[in-house]
Amino acid sequence: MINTHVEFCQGKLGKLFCIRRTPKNSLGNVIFLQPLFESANINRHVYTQSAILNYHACITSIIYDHYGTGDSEGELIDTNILLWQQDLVVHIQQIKKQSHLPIVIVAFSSATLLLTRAIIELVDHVQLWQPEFSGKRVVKQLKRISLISGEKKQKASAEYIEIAGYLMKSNLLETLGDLHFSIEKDMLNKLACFDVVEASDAPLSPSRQSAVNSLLQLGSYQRIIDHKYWQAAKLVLPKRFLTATSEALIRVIRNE
Amino acid sequence: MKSKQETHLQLQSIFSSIMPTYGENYWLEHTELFGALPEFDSMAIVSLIGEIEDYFDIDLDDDVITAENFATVGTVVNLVLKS
Repeated sequence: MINTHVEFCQGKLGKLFCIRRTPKNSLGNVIFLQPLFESANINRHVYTQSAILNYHACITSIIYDHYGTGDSEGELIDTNILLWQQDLVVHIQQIKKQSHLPIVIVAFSSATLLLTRAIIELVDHVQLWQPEFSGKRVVKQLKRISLISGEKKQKASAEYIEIAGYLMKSNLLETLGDLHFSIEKDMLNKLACFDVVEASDAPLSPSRQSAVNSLLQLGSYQRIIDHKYWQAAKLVLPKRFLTATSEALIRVIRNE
Repeated sequence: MKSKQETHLQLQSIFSSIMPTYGENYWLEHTELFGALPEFDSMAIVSLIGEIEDYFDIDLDDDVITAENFATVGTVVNLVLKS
């Protein structure tokens, strides 16, 4: 039986819903960082499956909801990007207080945008899953959902904005739009990136190529042939992707 | 520039990825999308646009997000070719 603790852990502004799976003789810790908005729901089952795979490889996993999202305290209108980043730092520091074992962050899609240089410096490794490097693109897609759903266009000057069913402060969207994750040279040894492709001959688009080029040269970028589960209209489990990312994670934790 | 046939083939694969209930052969030129397939909701359309932008390395303007352009597989093929 998997040793699972569901708890509310203290974040900067309130309690965060957190699921911790702790095996006996843990070799390391993985924090699964939730992506933003609908992506969190779409990806939840995949994080859970990965956490279970890691558990069987003696790796502790932590999955929590950002403040104002999911089952955590607070409302989306009370939150901001900086708070989510501070909460991540709180989690890392709490783990560090309790153990000296390696810490890895797994970030799917827009979760990548929450990672700062300072956060990456605090951990041993970061595994990016289908990373979204541009906040502008996330905002653009959100606005498109709103447009297609027939939501009324709102004033850019308004303090609050409801977009794609999410009510938030306008400046949350502005801050998100300004975020951009660039892979800097001094981060390279800590990063690995995994993309899903439907076929081995699927071309790498020029924009993706340019974003991951440095990782590609180092062999830290992999494309796994599997289902693009986050966009499928039905629940899909990307088994090959899960196996590849979990095996890579185990190698990092075991320092192989 | 990709031919109409190449574009159609690639879009077949994208449609199947977004709506895996249907096989790749389902996506013929006249296959109806918007308003005809329950799976083709706002999330599916936005995913499709994102995939088109990634794969074909183009930027689709919000003005082209209309029911007419997403009416059938053929209209989406034409939209990509025009962009």
